[in-house]
Amino acid sequence: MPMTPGSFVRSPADARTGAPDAPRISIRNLTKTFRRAGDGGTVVPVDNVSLDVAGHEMVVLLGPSGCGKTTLLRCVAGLEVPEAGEILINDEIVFSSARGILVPPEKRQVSMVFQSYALWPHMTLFENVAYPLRARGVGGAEVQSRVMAALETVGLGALAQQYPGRISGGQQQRVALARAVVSGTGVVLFDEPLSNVDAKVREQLRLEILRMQRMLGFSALYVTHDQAEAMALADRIAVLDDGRIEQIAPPETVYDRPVSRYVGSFIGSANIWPGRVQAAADGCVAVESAVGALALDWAAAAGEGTALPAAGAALTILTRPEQITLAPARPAGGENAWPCTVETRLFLGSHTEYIARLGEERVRVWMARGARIEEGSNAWLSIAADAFRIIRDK
Amino acid sequence: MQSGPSAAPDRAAPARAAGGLAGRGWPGPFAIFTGLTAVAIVFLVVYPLTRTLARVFMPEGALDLSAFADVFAAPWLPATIANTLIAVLGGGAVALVTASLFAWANERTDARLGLFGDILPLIPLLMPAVAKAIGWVFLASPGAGFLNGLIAATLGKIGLGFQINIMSWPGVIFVYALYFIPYVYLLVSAALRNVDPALEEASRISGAGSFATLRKVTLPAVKPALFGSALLIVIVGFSLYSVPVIIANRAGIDILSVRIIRLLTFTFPPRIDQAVVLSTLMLAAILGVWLIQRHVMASGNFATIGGKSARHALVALGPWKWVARAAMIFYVLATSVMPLGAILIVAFQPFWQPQIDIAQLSWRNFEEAFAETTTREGLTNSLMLGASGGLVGILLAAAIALYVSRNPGALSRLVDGVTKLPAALSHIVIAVGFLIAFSGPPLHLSGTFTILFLVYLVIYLPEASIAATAAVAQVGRDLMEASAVCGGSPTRTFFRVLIPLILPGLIAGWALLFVLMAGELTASSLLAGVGTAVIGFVILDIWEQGTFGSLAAIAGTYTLITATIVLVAMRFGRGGFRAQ
Repeated sequence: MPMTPGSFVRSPADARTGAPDAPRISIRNLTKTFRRAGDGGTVVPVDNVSLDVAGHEMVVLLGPSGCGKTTLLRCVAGLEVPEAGEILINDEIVFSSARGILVPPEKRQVSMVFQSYALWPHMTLFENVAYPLRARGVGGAEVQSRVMAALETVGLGALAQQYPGRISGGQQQRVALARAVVSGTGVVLFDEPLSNVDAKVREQLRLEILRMQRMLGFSALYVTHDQAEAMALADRIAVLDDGRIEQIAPPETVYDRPVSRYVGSFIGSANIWPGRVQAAADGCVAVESAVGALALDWAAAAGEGTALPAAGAALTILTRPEQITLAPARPAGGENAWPCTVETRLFLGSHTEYIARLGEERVRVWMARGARIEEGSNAWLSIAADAFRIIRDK
Repeated sequence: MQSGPSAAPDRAAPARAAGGLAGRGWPGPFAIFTGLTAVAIVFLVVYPLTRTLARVFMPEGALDLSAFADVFAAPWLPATIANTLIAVLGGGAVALVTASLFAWANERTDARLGLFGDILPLIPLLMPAVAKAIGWVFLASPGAGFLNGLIAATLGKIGLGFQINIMSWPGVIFVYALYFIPYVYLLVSAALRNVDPALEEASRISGAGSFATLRKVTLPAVKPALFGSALLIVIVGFSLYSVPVIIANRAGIDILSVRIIRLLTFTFPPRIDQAVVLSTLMLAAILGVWLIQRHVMASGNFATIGGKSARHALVALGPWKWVARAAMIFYVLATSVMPLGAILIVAFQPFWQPQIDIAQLSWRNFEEAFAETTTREGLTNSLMLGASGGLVGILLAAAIALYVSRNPGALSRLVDGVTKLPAALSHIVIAVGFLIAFSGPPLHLSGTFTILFLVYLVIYLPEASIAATAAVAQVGRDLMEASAVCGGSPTRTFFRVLIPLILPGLIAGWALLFVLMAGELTASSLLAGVGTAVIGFVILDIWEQGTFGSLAAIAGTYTLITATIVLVAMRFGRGGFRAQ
């Protein structure tokens, strides 16, 4: 049989037990606590988290450092022991506090890619990639063909007999990737795998990870603090804050419809203003905000079918910089337009960022191209009525 | 909810979980073994010390300071203490200045010699101190010394002749300084490497010259290392026995370590009480220096560590570059090549004379020296004790280092502290403690291999622990976790990942222990018996008899054996895979 790329792993469907659409990783009410230094208080890096990763799905855990994302991942790998909850991998219970089950990492059907690559310096690339196969009892010619196929997939077949200390960081992470997929466990955990490589290589590896995931169809839980990486890779992003999942949704939804100030400001750039409802009628709400009176399309802002707010209700309004238009003169149409002063202009290649001043408020605006507006000049800001989002203020 | 010590630091928490993971490979038994080892070490360190103090303060069960009165009344005491202080502090001061300049020249200036930094830490291992001292006697004795011969044959011809005499105060201080320099160099050069050169560059850009920068930025940054070196010098200097017994003795300079060992071995009946009082004084002196060091460290701000090995401009020394290089090369020659050369020449000469006649060189001294049973036995005993003691030492230290690194907690901190404790005690204090605690009833270990083996283990435990900890620290937590996640069982992780990674470090550690133990002289002089003579003991014996040919043959053979083992092990220990 000719060796096609990817034929070194069993098809994920073979490895899977249970229904085709059953989640590959299932986390139920997981809690993990650490004791803090000094005062003896507790830190809760994983606080009652529930999460499913479906077959072929890549879920990215996103959050600032200390939000508990790595701890959650390590709990799934079996490298940390949670206090409470349940973890299922491929329908097998690997941790359950209620039933007293704790499966050690080597017995779990998962692979992991570490931030530090964690390649064994005393083994060649071939031996590194062969390790998971040999540890799981695969022998002889099959090891040879599967390891070489995995190394070919990441473009390092020629370096099989090299030692990790002699190759670049990007190459090392490719080897780690090959090691993670070679045994075909069907579930791969990524612990900030790209944070140690430089920007160009990072973009390239990001594409490769995506390509391999599409090709091999593994399910992945991927930890990162880089929002661009998260949006590029994820089928769904889980934004974590203080041990809890703040929002879990596809990247477009997380970006377009953030549920809270935390998510809105962590992902992308955002202008966030407090406001108060003046009047509401015909799906249109008039709000008095920090930048002035504005009219917003309620269905776009709060979602279809949401009841109109009462007059006098307090709101928090978010709008993205690329949704705002900056023009030298008052635009036609006239709604949601305010005069402003351009304070700063930053040319960023693909777009130009302006900081515009409206009274006390500074507004961030991204303009793709168009007339150059000098710093210090007066201009007009305008925002379409459907470009606002209502978020929870936290 | 977790239980455990409330002071457990936050960062220890993930490691604790990993400990649980690794701990499955070595369940109960591993912890029990570590615990028992720790108890044994505590016993071997603390019990002799307690017995010593009890003996000196309460010989009859009640407080009795008559032993102190006895010692303080001794007519030789003031001179002996003064001599010891002059030798240790004088040699120490010379070493501090010289080694700091070497370290600075080698880390920061264009006088740097790459090889020098690599070789220097190995020098004390390549050539045992006793051989070094004997070599310098051959080089610079009045009349017959090779250097004096050289001076007579050159400068003497044009009327500028003079004699140098190693067996004098300057000679004693010179050889002490040679001995101390690697210790200071290691600490100071490590400190310089840790100080971000950007701090110095910032000073120079702010307008301070090279010298002002050295004085205002560099020196304060390495101050902790300088005080650490001073403490180390006092500890190793007080217990140094080989140099004073060979060189100071002939110069009529009475040194404390020699006096203590004479009181216990050459005096009949042995004056145990006096010896114990003297070693207690030694301990008190070390404690004093330690307190001063702590005081200095507590009062300063030493937050200078940048940790970046960034490229930086070297200070240009101009013509001084060659002076600095000449001094460093002279040091390497003076401490290894010259004394070894002198020993080998004497070993092949029919009798020691400054003129070298190639035609007369022969193997006769070797044949005569090794015809003696005591020589062969001494050499065999030392090699066996060094090999076995080194092996047991490094394995125990590795087990402890593994346990400590995977299980942070109170037990680990205690064990770690105890393994470092012997470094703070003089060899001679430990040896006197062993003599008192174990040579008599109930164990009657006097003169046995067991007591030598145990005392070597205790004395070199800190070195073993440092080597093993460094080896274990090379294996990051990730490497072990990656194995588990790849499906590797704890056994597979242990044999395929951990052992191959720490083995080179352990082999290097074993070689270090081997050489240190095989060359140990201070404790051996006190504790070896007739049937358990070790090589250093045999060398001193022949030195007393004055048969220089045999002495040179044995010292030369011994130096070559240890140097070979060190070089081979270091080469092997640096092994292939860490090729960056």
